[in-house]
Amino acid sequence: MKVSRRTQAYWIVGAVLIIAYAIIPVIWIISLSFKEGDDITNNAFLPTVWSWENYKTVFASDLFTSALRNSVGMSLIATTISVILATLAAYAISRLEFPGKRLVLGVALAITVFPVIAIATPLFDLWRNVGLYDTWLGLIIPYLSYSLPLSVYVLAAFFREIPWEMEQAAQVDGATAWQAFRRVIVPLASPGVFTAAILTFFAVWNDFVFGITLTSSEAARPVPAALAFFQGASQFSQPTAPIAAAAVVVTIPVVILVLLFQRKIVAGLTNGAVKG
Amino acid sequence: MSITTPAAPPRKPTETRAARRIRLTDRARKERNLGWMLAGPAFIAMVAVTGYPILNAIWLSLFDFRLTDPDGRTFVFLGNYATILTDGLFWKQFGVTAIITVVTVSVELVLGFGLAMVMHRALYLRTALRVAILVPYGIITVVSAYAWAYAFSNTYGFVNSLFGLGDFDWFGGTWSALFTVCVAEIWKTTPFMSLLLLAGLAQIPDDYLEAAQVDGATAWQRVKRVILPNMKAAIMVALLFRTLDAFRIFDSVFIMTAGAQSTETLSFLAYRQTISRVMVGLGSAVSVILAILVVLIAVLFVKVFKTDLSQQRGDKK
Amino acid sequence: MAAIEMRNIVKEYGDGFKAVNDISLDIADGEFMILVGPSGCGKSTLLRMIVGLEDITSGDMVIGGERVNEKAPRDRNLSMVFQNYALYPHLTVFENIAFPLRLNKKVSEDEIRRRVKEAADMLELNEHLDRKPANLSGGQRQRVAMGRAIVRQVNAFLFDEPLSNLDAKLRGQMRTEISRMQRRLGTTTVYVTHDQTEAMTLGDRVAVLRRGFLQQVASPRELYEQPVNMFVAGFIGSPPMNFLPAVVSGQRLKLPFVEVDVPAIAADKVTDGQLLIAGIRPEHFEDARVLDESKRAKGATFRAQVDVTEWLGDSQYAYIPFEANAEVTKQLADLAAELDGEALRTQLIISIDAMSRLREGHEGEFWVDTRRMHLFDPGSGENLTRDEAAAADLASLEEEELRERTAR
Repeated sequence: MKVSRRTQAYWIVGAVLIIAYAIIPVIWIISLSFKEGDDITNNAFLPTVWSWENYKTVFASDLFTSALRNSVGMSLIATTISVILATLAAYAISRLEFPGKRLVLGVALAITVFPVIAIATPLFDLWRNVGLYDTWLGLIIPYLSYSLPLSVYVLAAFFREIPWEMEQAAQVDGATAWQAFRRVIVPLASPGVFTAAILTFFAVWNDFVFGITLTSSEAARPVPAALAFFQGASQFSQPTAPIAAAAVVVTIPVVILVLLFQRKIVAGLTNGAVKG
Repeated sequence: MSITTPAAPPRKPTETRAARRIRLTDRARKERNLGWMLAGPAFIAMVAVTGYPILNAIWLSLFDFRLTDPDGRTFVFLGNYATILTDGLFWKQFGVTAIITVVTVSVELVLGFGLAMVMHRALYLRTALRVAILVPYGIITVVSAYAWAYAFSNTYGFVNSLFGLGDFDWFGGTWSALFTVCVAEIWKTTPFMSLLLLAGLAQIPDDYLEAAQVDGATAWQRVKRVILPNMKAAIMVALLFRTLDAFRIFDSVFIMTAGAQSTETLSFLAYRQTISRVMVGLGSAVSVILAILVVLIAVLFVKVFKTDLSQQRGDKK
Repeated sequence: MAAIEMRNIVKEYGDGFKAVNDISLDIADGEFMILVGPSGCGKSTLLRMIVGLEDITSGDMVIGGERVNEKAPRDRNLSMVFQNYALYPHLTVFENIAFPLRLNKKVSEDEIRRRVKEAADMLELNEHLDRKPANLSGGQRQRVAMGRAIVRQVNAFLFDEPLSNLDAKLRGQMRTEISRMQRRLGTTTVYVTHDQTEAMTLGDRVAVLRRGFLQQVASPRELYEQPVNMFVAGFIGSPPMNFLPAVVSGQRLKLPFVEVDVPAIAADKVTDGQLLIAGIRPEHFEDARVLDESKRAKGATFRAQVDVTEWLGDSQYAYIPFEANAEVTKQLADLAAELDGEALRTQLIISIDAMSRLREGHEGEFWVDTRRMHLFDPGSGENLTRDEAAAADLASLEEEELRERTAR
């Protein structure tokens, strides 16, 4: 459509407002994380003196570093396994005819609908009995089952966009179904797989409920849960600025992924929703 | 095709199905096996972790069961449900949850639509917009909750000094505390909503809008009469996703108010009953009720959605 | 290379709909067979059953003397060119063509290179071997798809509307190319199309399908001259055959503009007063003023008012509206709908000499070659004037030609 200069100016103003909307709270927590001493309670948006003190504090704390290690490790493992399983399942669901397909989809849907908290409490009992409470595996397993539906939906939408004829041509060319999948579909779907991996990572990285219910120590507690259990010098003063610093640290991976792959993330989110 | 010849009755569907099973070709058989080989692992991973806890929760919800007193476990059938549903506290928390859901989702819909329009139309700053909007989406909910809690705090925050509110304690009253929770939720999830709406917006051909413009429609009329009716499906999907999510709100409440000042939501109640107070039976019942409510909302949406879509399809024919 | 035999092939879907109904068709070794018909006639389904992408509900599919009903596509040793070419976007042209060979681990790298080179030579793709399909033009993509098909020694080539995505000019060139390639390799070929120019020019024989039923299998010439029914007559030919109401009156036949003798071949099959449908192709009319005197006596002449003329340089069409009763009008509209067209009004379309100076809105005198007229039963659509002897002649001619070609 033809757009007049004036209308375009309105859109630019709108765009700037949106960017401000999205960024200001992030800048606020960053600015808070650089505050020190009296600055913390000065009720101003920016610190008077920028200080790295809080970052030194959180990285000196075992509670935070072990939580960071847990979060990174568990998120990467859960994402990898989830995406591999989801790729296989999404292909089967979008392309193959087999009995029980509806059951798989139904279970996936049920999981997305069922409240996490309703799973977390019975799991708490179960894990205590089988010894998975407060372990990496004890968190990775629920992460898997909760992220699988999302990755299956996103990937199924990608698979559906690959023309059917590709596999049929491969079959006629003499490929087995597995060869067609390996040699034709997987290379074509790799951008989709990558996007699904990012979205899955976000979902797992964000987890809080499993983190607080299924852990009790530094052995497996991820960062979001650890933040809530951060304690200051005294019981009653919450260590605000160090929490802000920790929050900034765990936001960095998110921002990096967003900066690098914004286009793919948008495509993945919208494809899955509209066609799934 | 004629139905009037009784001499040749149509083959019964069961017969055809049986016949087909026998005639399953190599290709079809291999396809079936491959289907399960590929979908099986994911299926097991999903069912293994959720199937048992869900059934277990339903089972436990029928008992008066306290973790600290396992021997005192007694079967009370629907007793826990009666206890919960007749408890004023439950209904109060239901109300809080419903208010948060309705307020956040409706504000997000309006705001998200505006965001989507700008993203769709802006010729400049596209990448910057996309990055900016994805930051709230990707950020950890707990982090967002802390950022807003501190921003509103009268000890640390800048909100009071910015608006000249002095020492006002946002977290001192139910409504102001709920307001902050809603703001945090809206900030974090509007981008997701706007991306879903953007997808719907992008599917409307520019031709429609140009035709409307030629026909003499104003900008507002174009939005109301052309854009909105054509992105009904996207709006419904976005509303469904967000409503289900909002109804299960937990992280923000936990961090920002910890349920104080009567800001407890249903998810929070379920958590507190089982984890903190180890009332496993009651807590499980709350979880089950919450799940049922979520399913009800989903079913309701899908039903409205379906009739709506089929009407649309009918119009086109 | 192999012959393909289909015996009573049926495709029934879960809802009871029969896309292909009891089709039996023999395709000789080395023959170029066309499957043609309007959309939804089952031609693509039939092709996909040959290649194995669609299950066969009942009947036998025999390729090279072996029943293949239960075989997977990869075990049938066929190759197929898809409508959208189905080129693998992540592979270069070379790798696309080499793909079928790479799946077979026994083929050596040298052998692969040699055979891809050979196919690329034949299709003039040598300069493009390192490019990706996205960077190719429509015609080049089409050639790559053909390269992938011919790189192996297969029992048969299958084409599913391979030219429908090309523009008209390219389509003409590729048509010749396909024909040349098939003649050179002598491989049995089954080709699905809805384009009758392709059907008429490419095929040794053409199978016309309608709603899952086989109507007629014959050489293009026989289809054109001796169609078995109204459907085939109306489908083959462009502009299509004119259908007019014709009433039998004794030994004579009354048509909208003209009255002629009942053709001898149909004389026994009609009764006095019966309503028939007469079919006359546009090219069997002429402007009487530009006609050779010698031809005039062989047909009938009539006067009629011209509605619209279309002058195309080398040819010219005139449109002459006529009145028909409701029954005939409805029948013609049904037929037109089935042929993917729309009958807006009953009119004659006639082809006249490009030199003719007929003017729109004026009356002219026309000549019609009544010897070439066909008569159809309005109920069954059966052609009452089909000359079986002439048809047999044409068929044996075609067979001979094929035998000669495959022997070479």
